[in-house]
Amino acid sequence: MAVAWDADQAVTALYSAHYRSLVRLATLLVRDVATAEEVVQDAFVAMHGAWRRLREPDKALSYLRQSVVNRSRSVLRHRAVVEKYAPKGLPDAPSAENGAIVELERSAVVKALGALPNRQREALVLRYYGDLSEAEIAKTMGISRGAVKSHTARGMAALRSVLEQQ
Amino acid sequence: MTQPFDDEYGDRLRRALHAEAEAVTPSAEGLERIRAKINQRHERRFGVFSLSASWLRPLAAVAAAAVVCVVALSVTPGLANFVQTGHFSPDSGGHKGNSAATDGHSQGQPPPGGPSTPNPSSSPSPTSIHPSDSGKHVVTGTCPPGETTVTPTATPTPDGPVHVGPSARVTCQAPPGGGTTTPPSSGGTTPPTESSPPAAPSSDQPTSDSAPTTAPNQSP
Repeated sequence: MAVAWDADQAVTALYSAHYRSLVRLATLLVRDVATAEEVVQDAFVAMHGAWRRLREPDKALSYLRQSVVNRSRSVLRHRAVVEKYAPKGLPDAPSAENGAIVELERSAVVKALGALPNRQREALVLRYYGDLSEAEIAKTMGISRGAVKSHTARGMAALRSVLEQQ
Repeated sequence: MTQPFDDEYGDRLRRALHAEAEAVTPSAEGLERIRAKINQRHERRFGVFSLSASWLRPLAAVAAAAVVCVVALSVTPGLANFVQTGHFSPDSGGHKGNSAATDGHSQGQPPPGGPSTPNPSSSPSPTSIHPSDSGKHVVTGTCPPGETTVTPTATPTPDGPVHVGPSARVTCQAPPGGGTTTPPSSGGTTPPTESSPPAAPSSDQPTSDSAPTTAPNQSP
């Protein structure tokens, strides 16, 4: 779609079309909805500032996705530093919903996913939630397609080993 | 690329991720927050000027025009003279007549640096060059006290009257064995060392019994 938007119109249109999915993607990466929303909002602000360079909605969506991944990395990096020096708390108690088998499986998968290294988790989330191709994942993560294959294969292997032990 | 074994775990992962994502509901005021952040960033970047673009542009145009005028006046001396005096001087092209009037030695006044000049070929300003009744050009001017005025050497032409070019100057010569001279100070900012009044204009036809010293730009 070739649309001559200005920056404000682009923000409005892309927000209505992609904000929800981008927040969900960020939630899967940072595992926190409020932080994910902050990340996506900051990505939209950055896209607004860079709109003169982008001009096209497809480029803008790619820019947004890339910005979300990069900002999620920054959040996780900052969180790792904070958790390193923060006092250890009690582990989360399982909720009542976890009684169902599906919920157990889901939580187990998500938990195993959260234990993966950041790059492997990003590659798996972009592939299995975002349904992106290898080329799109490579562009979003800023790495080569070979590196995407490597991260995906290693992430799946680690995930499988964790889930098989349960 | 993907093995069947991975497809099974891939499907499980896909279902789990979508189920996890479906549980996420973004807040409704996301767009308002984005716009507020954009406005904050815009104000932080441009400050008060972002709100005043309506008056900023005419102000910038006036300031630019003023800068152009100042630059034009400072670069073009003739234009500056016109602005200061209200008219172009008739000999503004060469500044020969103006230079004497503007350098502090106007109308035959001695330079403030002292009554005499060290250089015999120094040229006080001629006040006027006008043809006399005998057909000769008479140069009137003054010399500092204690010096004699030497008439410039006129250039005789074979078929015409004696011609004194526009660059003719009155030269002063120190008397033989004259006193010491001090160089004139430039610009006339130094107060005179002697409080002698300016000398009266010398005679219209100064005589010289010594070899005349002519200005360097005067042809023999």
